[in-house]
Amino acid sequence: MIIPRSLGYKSAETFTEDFYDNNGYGQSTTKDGVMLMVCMEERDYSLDSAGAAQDWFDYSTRLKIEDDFLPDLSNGNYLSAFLTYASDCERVLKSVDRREVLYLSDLGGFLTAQQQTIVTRTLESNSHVGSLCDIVVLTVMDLSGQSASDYVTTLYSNGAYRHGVSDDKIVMVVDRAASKCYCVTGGSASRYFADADLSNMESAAAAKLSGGDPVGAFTGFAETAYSRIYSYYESQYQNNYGYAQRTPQLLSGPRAFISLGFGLIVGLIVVSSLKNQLKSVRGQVAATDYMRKDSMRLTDNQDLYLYSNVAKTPRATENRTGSGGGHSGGSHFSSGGISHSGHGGKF
Amino acid sequence: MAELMEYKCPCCGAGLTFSSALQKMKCEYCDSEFDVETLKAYDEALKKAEAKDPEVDVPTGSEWKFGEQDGIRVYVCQSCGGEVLGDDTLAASACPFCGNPVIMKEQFAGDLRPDLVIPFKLDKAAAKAAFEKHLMGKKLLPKVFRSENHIDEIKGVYVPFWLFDADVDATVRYHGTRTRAWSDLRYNYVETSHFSILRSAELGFAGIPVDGSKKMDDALMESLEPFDLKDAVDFQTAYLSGYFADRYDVSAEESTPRANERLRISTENAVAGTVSGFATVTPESANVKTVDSRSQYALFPVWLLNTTWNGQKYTFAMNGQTGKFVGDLPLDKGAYARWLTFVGLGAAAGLYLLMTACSFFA
Repeated sequence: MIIPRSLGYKSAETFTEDFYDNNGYGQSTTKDGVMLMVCMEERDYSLDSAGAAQDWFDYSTRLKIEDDFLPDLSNGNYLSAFLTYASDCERVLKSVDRREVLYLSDLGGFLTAQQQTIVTRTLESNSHVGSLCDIVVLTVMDLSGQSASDYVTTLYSNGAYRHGVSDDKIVMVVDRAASKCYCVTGGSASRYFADADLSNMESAAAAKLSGGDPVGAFTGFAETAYSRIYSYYESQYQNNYGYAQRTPQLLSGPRAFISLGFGLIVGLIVVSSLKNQLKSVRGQVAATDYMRKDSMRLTDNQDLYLYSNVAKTPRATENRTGSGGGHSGGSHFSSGGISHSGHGGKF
Repeated sequence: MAELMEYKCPCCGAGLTFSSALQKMKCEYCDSEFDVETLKAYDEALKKAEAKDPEVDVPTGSEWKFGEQDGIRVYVCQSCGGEVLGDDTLAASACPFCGNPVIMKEQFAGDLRPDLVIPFKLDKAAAKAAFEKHLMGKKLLPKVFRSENHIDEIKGVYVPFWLFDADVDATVRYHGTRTRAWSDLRYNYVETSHFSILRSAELGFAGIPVDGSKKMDDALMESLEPFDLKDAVDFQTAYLSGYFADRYDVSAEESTPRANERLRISTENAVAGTVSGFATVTPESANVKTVDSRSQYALFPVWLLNTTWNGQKYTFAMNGQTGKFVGDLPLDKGAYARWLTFVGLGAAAGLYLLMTACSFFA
């Protein structure tokens, strides 16, 4: 929680994100955390979640917490509001699986810290393809004879990491000592990738690593995996929903009905215009032609403010896990490179 | 019997008529031309004369039916002695026997004398040509109308008008709104601010014409506007020679409401144009007051064409100064149905093909 004196020129949401990023809040490298900002002077607040906490404190959870503390905040019972916020957060944290979702482990030392951030962001955003499949990169110095598949199984079974939103995953394992790349699928992800696809992805990544471009290798892998998963579902849609029926038909009842209606409207407009040509006797409504030039002079000119009213309508609820795209709705990366979700308002 | 004026050629004695092409008086027999100014003396006596009450002179001979002689006047042509009959507003005509142009002096005496006249600029041939052009390009005009209709009559008429000048004081009040919209994650907000808007203005109008003849259809005469007063000259009876003319039978007082109505609407539109920057503007009240209203009596040139087709009479008019031609034409219902069918089917087919093509490429 932060209680600033003034927000300056920033909006409540921007102020909160900037404060969070610049003052080292949050856990581990993903900066997981939730922050409530209340500015009493400007009667403005913002509730923000960052990193993995965006999954624990999603939009509906944040709304529920807000509904709990906002009445006290609006009435000036600040202590009660803050205690309510804290207890709600504790309750949420006890009920969620707070283990990290694994996207990148660079034990092989290919990437700098900044490069790790870039690659993690790409893997995370491409993994949210309709919440279908985790896309993961693991680099090791030496597999020491262990198969890539066994390495991945061991890593997930020790309980240190959790899956994304499903068990499906595709993992690229890079053995630095052997200079080899392996693609391993988990869960039901093998349905998305043919053997040739896996082989092509391995070759492409290896080529880029040999060329000294690890970021290109891993981000290219993420984007290729994403497009394969998307293509799979597109073809599934065409098969399941009658691809044959989507063949265009020459004769169509609804199309004919719409066309006839359109034709009738166009026909009536045209003949009305032609009929108007026959009428030329029209009385004059005004006497604008007889106004003396420059004779108009405004002698009084007042615009008096009376009153205002404000109407508000609820917006459709935000869905963070959007379908078909590579990025979740509502979540964004701040200028500090940390993923945030948040909103605020006046009290 | 009432007295007539006839302009005679000093060279050959034939009747002088006003030529729209030359803007002078011309003798059609010896082609002599005379400036209108030189004939001013004829009008001097008229200015000093008083307007007489109308005389009703019942002609001898056949018996009149009840009410038939009301408003009929009889004139004697000074050229041939023939009787010229007209109603109580007829001011200029032609003798039906010898064709000599005649002007009824008493219709312009004293207070009945017009202040202004716009002389004819266009002749009968121009009126006929304008009529032919008016029929061209009208897809729903019955084709037989062009071929079968015959023009019963083309006559150049000076139509009496009242011209109104006025200064106006107007005060109009409006109710206006401005809106502002914004959103947060939970709600969409719309703020509406309400304003009371006041505008007061002064405007001037000059020469608003109102038809002063009951015989002339007001809408037909208004359709011929505008008449350009730059060509208006002081009235002289010589301008009427060769044309028909009527004096007014709708007084200035009776014409004033029509002028005021047009003036009010123009004023409200002009004042409304000064209100800007609002999402909605609704007039609440308007007070339009005329100050210093003046009227003038003028004669404007109009070519009238009457034609008959299919048992129905159609009247057309052309502005004798500007050439603007107006007149409603009959509708060919068969052509209407054919156009509706073909255009409608064509548009329907085009849209159907477009939608089918899009579905192939989608």
